[in-house]
Amino acid sequence: MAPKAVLAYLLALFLLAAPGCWNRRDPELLAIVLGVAFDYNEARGLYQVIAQVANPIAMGGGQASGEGGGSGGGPAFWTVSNFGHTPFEAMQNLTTGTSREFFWAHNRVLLLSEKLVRRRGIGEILDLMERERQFRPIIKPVIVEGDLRRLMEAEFPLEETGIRGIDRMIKTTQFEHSVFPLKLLNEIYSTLEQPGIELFIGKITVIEEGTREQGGGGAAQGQGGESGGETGKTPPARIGGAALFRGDRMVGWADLHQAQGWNYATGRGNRFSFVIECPAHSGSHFSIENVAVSSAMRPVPDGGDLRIILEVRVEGRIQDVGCRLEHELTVENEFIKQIERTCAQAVRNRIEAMISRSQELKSDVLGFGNLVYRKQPKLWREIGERWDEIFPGLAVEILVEYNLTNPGLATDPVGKNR
Amino acid sequence: MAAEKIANRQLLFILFMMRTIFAIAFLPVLTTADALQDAWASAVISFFGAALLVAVIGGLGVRFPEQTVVQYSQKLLGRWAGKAVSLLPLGAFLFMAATDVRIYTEALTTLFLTETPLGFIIGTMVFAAALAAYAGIETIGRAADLFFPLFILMVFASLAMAVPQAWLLLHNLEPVLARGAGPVLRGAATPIAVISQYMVLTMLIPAVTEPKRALRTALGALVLSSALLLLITVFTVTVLGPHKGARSSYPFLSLVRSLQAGEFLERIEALAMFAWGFAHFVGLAVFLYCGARGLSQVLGLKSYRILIGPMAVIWVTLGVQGYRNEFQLRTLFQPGIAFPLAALGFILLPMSILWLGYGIRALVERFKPGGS
Repeated sequence: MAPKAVLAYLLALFLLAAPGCWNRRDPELLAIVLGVAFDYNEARGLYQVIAQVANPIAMGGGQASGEGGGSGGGPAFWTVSNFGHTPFEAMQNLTTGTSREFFWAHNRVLLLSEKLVRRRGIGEILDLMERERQFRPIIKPVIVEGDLRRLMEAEFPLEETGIRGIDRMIKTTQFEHSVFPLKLLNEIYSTLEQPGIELFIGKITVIEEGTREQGGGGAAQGQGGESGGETGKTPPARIGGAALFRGDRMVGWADLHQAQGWNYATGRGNRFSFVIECPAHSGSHFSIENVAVSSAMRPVPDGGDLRIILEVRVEGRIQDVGCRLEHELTVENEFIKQIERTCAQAVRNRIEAMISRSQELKSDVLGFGNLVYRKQPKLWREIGERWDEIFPGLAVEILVEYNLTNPGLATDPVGKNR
Repeated sequence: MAAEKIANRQLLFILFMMRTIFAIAFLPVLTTADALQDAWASAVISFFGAALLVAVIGGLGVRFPEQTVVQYSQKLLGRWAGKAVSLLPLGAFLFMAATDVRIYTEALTTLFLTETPLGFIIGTMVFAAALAAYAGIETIGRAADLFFPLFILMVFASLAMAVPQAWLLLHNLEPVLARGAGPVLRGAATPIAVISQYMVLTMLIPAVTEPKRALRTALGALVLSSALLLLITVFTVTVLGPHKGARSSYPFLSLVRSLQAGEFLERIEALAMFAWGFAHFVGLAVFLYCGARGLSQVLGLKSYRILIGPMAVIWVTLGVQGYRNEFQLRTLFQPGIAFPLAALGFILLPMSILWLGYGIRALVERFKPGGS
C-alpha cells in the first residue's frame, strides 16, 4: 500500500480515540474507585461495601509524603463504606455521603472478607460483577483474613495508594513466590460453573497493629533492626495461602505450602524457591530456585478403582550452597542426582499437603472430578453424583521429574579446596 | 446513465461483514441453545447448512445475471404473481435491517451510552446508511473496501490478545462432543437461519462486474466468515468458559473485556464495538439499497432514490417500536422461532416458488413442440 493510504488509515484510527459525549462525565466530577471490598453483617443481614477512592487533591500535589496516620496531610486515597441489602444497594448507598459520582471501571481488586464468603457465599457478588457494565472480568479477587476495614484504610510502604499496594503485592508474589493462586475474575466464573472442581482463591492476611511480623512463608526473612521509626514500618498485610470453597462458600484455608502445592500441581508456578537439606550432610542447606513448572493429569479408570496420575515437571537452579564440604558441582554426577531427588521430594510433599487438605475439606480444588468429567464423560455420568463421597478417598499418584538445570555463575562452592 | 457496478471483491467484503457481525453481536452458536463447549461444532455444521441455503438463494440469480429477483420473478411467474413473491424478500430486508440495528443499539446502550435514547442511536445509524444508499451501490462497495481491513484488524487484534488466556484454559473445550448430536444441531439452527441476510444477493447479482461468479463469491464470503466464527467461538468458550459464555449478553464483548496484554493494554472493547459498527453500517446500507431498489422495480419507478427517505423513516420507527425490550429481541433468535421464520419464511418460501417456476418453464421449453 502506498504510504499515503497507510497514513489515511492511521488518521482514521486516531479519530476513533477522540470520542465526545453528549452527556459529559468529566474526570473532575468522578470519584475513581481503586478497589472495592465487601463484608457481611450477619446480625443485620446486610452487605457492607468499603471502597477506596483516589484522592486527586493529595495525589497530584508535590509532596504527598507518606506521613500516614489517617488525618493530617491526608493520604492519596479516601476510604468510604456503607451498608445495603444487596451488594449493589450498598454501592449505591455510598453516594449519599460523597460529592462525586462513583466510577468503578478502574477497580483493580475485589476484596472479600472471610465472614462473607463463609456465611453468605460469593454468588451474589459475582453476579453483580458480571452484570454491571463498569466492572471488568480482569479484577483480581482476594479473600481477606482479619480486619477488612483496616486493610482498606492502610497505607503501603513504597506505594501511593493502599489498593495499588495490594495489587502490586499480588503481581510480585506471583513471580517471586507462588504462594498465591492468581486468578482473574473471569476464571472464577468458569471454575464455579464446571462440575467436579471447586474455587481456590488467594488470601491476604491483615497484620494487626503493634505486632511485628518476621517475614512470611516459612522462609525467615530475618530482618533485624528492632529500632522503630518510619523506615522500619511493618507492612499492613501479608500475602499467601488461599481459601478453599465448596460451591460458592468458603470451607477452609490452605497454608503457604499447600498453596505452593496447588501452583505446582496445576503447572502455574512461576518462579519460587525452597530450601533443601544437603543430601550428603545433615544440618547444612541449599537454596533452590524453581524456574519452570509444567504439569499434566490423567485419570486411570482401573476397573472400578479410579486413580489419578499427576505428573509434574520442574526445572530449577541452585541459588546458594550452605554446605562447605567437598561437593562436585561441575560435571554430571551422583550428587546432583541426589539433589534432584531431594527437590522432587520437596515438591511432592507440597502437592501431597494440598491434596490431603482438600480431601479433608471435601473441596476438590485441583479439579480431579473435572478431569474425569472432561476426559471420561461416560464414567462421570455414573460417578458424578457421588463425587463428594469418592473424592476424599481418591488415590492420586504424584510423579515429579526434577531437572536441575544449572549451578548459577559458580560451580563448586566457596572454599571447597582449602 | 451507465449502470452502477461493484467488483466481486467488494461483494465478498460486504457479505463477509454482514454475516460476521452476528458472531460479534451475540454469537448465536453459543447463546441460543445448549451447545456449550461444543459450540465450535455447531459453527462447523452451520457452515454447511448455510452454504446449502446460499446455493438456493444465488443459484437462480446466476441464471439471470442481468436481472434482480423482482425482474426474473416476473419472467418466471408472470407479472403480478412475480411481483407478489418478490415483495417477500423485500419485506425481509426491512425486518432484518430493523432487527440488526436494534441489536447494535441495545449493545451500545447496555455497555457505553447508557442514557442515550434508542431512537437517537438508531436514527443516526440509519441516517448514515441512508446517505450511503442514496449515493449508490458503488459508494457502499468502496465503503466496504475501506472498512474491511479495519474490521479484520480490530477483530484479529482482539483475538490475538486472547491467545495467552485461551492457551491456559484450553480445557474449557472438554469434554468434546460428549452429549451427542442434539446440542450441536440445536446450536447450529439459528446461525443457519440468519443466512437469510444473504437474500440481498438476489438484488446485488446484476450489480457486480462478474455476475456469473457471484455465487462463488458469496460462498467465499461464507467460508471466510465461518472460519472467523469458528475462531471467535473457540476463543470465547476457552476464555470465558462454556457457561459464562452462554450466559453472556454479548459474548465477544465479554471476551474482549477479559483481555489484558501485559499490564498496560486492556479495556479494548471499544475497538470491537467500532469493528461491529463499521460492518453494521455497511450491512444496513446494503439492506436499505436493496429494499429501495427492489421496491422501485416493483412499482416501476425510474429511480430508487426517492424511496430512500420514506423507507429510512419507516426503518427507524420499526427499529425503535418493533421490540419492546431486549428480552423480546432475544426471543426472536431462539432456534424454534428464528429457524422457521428466517430459513423457511425468508429464504425457502420465496425461493422454492421461484425455483418451481423455473423448473416448470425449463420443462415446458424442452418439450415445446417445434423447439426454439
